[in-house]
Amino acid sequence: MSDPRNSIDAWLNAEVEPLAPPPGTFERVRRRARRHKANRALMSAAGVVIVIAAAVAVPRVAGPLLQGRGQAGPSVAAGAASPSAQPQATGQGNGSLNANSGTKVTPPTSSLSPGGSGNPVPANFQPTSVTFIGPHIGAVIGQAGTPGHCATAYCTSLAGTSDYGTSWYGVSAPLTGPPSGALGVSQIRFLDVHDGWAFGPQLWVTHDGGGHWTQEQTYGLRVTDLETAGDRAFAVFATCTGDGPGYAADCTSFSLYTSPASGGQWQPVPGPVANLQTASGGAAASASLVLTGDPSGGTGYLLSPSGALLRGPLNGTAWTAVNQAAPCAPGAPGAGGQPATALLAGDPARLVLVCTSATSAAGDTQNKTVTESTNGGVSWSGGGTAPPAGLATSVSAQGQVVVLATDAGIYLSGNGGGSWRLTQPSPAGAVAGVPGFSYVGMTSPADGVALPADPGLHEVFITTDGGSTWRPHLVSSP
Amino acid sequence: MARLRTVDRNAAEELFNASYPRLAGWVRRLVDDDDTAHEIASEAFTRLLARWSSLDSPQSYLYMIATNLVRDHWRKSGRERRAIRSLTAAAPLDPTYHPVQDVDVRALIEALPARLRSAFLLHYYAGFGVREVAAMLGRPEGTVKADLHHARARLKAALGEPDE
Repeated sequence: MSDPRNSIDAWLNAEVEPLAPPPGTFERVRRRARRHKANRALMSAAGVVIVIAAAVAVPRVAGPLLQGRGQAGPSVAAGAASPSAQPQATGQGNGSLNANSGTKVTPPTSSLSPGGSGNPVPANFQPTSVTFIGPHIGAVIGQAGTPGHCATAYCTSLAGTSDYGTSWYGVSAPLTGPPSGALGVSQIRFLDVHDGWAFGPQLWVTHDGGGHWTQEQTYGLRVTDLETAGDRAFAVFATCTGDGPGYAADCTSFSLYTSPASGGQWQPVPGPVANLQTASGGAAASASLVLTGDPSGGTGYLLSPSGALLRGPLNGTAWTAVNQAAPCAPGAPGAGGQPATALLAGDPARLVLVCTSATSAAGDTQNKTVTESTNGGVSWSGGGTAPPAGLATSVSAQGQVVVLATDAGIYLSGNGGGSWRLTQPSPAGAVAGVPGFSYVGMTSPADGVALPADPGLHEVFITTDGGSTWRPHLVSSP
Repeated sequence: MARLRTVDRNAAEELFNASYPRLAGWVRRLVDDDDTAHEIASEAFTRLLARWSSLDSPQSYLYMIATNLVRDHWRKSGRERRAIRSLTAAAPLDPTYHPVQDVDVRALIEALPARLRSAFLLHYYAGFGVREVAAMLGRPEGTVKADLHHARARLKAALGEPDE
C-alpha cells in the first residue's frame, strides 16, 4: 500500500495503463494529417493572392513590396506585424498599405515555437539583437526588406530558431520602426516561448511567442536595457534626448521598472533605484542591468551612472545599494544603449566587471581591467587585464569562462580574466567603420552567441565549445 | 519521391504503434474518459504527421501537443473552476490512497498555474528529463527545476502533506 501521506507520489508512480487505438485509427489520423497539410498549402496560396490583390489596387506601394518579399510568397514579410498591433501604429501611417488602399491587409501571425513557424525569414534580414531561452530556441530582431518598401510602413522583423541558430524561420514583429529618437525598437529578449519584449527605445510585449505584440506605456521615458528571469522582466527607463539611432545618448536619469512576465503594468522597483544620475548630474550616462536567475529565485544587479552598484531579488520587492563605488562607472553608452566603460556580467556565483580606459589616439586600443566579485558586488578584486587591441562592447561570464566582444574580435579567458586569447577575429565582410562584434552572450558554459557590429552581414556567430571556436550562421531561410 | 513517402509512412506507422497506447493511456488518466483520450491522442498524432518532415523530436512534439490539448479540454469542461473550488472546500482527505483519489490529484494538477502544470506533466508524468522538458518548453533548465519544485510543493500543500 502507498504511504498514506503521499498521494502525489502514489499518483505519479502508478503505471499508466495503455489504451489501444480502435481499429482504423492510424488510417484516419493519416487522412486528417493530409487534409491539414493541404489546408496549410491553400492558406499560403491565399496569402499570396491577398498581397497581389493589394498590389493591383496600390501599385506604387505594393510593387516593391512583392520584390522585397521575394518570389516564394512568404507569410511573414519584412515589416509584417500582428493584426492586434496595427491600430496603435497605423495612425501615423503615411506609406502604410492599409492607409493608402483602404483595404485591410493583415499578415498571418507567426510565433516562436519549438517546431518553427513554417514561414520563411524576410529577405535582407539585418539583426541588431539576439536572445536565447535555452539550448535550442532563440530569436533575432532587426530590419529587413528594403526601407520604405515593406509589408507595412515599417521594416522591423523577427526571426526564430529552434536549433541554436543553424536554421531560422519568420516570426511576427512589432509594428514600429528602427530606433529614431524616442521611437522604434532594436533589442529583443524572450523569457520562454510565450513571453517576450522588444525594446530600445520603445517597449513592446508579446505573450504568444511573437504572434501578437502590444506597445507598453513607458511614461515618455526610453527603455535602454531589459532583462528577464524567473517570472518577471526588469527594465531601465531613462530620460534621454538623443536623436536618430542614438536613442540612448544624452540620457540624464535612469530608473528601474519591473513587470510580471505574464503581463501587467510596469511599476517602479522599490528602493534607491529611481532617478539615478551621474555624480555630477551631467549627460552622456548609461546604466547596466544583469539578472542572475537561479532555482532559488535569483538576484538582479544594476550598475548606476554614478558607479554605485544596487541589487535585489527578482520578485518585485525592494532593491538596496551594496557598493557606492564599484571599480568603474558605466560612462557614455555604446551601441544598443549599453555602457562603454564598465561592462558587467555574471552568474549566481560571481560577477565580472570589465573597466575600459579612454581610447588610444589611433582609436583602436584601450586598456581593459577585469575585476571580479564573489560576494554579490560588496567587494571586488583584480582578475587580470584583457588585450588592449579593440574597443570592448560586451562581456559574458559563466563560471571561470569570460568572453569579451570587441571591435577587433572575440577574446576568451578560461581562468576568470587572468589570461586571454583571440578566438574570433572581426568578420572579414564587415563594412569599414563597423568592425568586430557588438554583443556576446553565453547561454551555458559551452554554448554562446555573438552578433557582428555590422548588421549587413546578416549573421550571428555561434559557439558550442565554450567560446574556443565560432561559426557564422546566416539569418535567412534555406 | 515515392520511396521517400513509403519510408516516411512506415516510420510514422511504427511510431504510432509504439506510442499511441501509452499516450492515450496517459491522456486518459488526465481526462478520465476513454473517448476523450482517443480524441486527444488522435489529434496529437494528426498534428504530428502534418509536420512530420520538419520535426527533429517527434516524441517530444507529440506530448507537447497532447499536453496543450488536455489543457484546452480542461478549460472547456470547466474543471479548472471546480478544482479551485475543491481546493478551498477543505474537505477532509481519505487517509489511505486508492484509485478514486486520482480525481483529487488530477483536479489539483488542473488547478496549477499553466507554467507549472506543463513542466509537471511532462517531467513527472510523461517521464521526460529536465533537459528535455527545458528544450520542449523553451525555458532554462534551472527555471524548469524551480517550476517542478514549486508545483510539487503546491500540490503537497493542497493535500496537507509535508514537503520534502
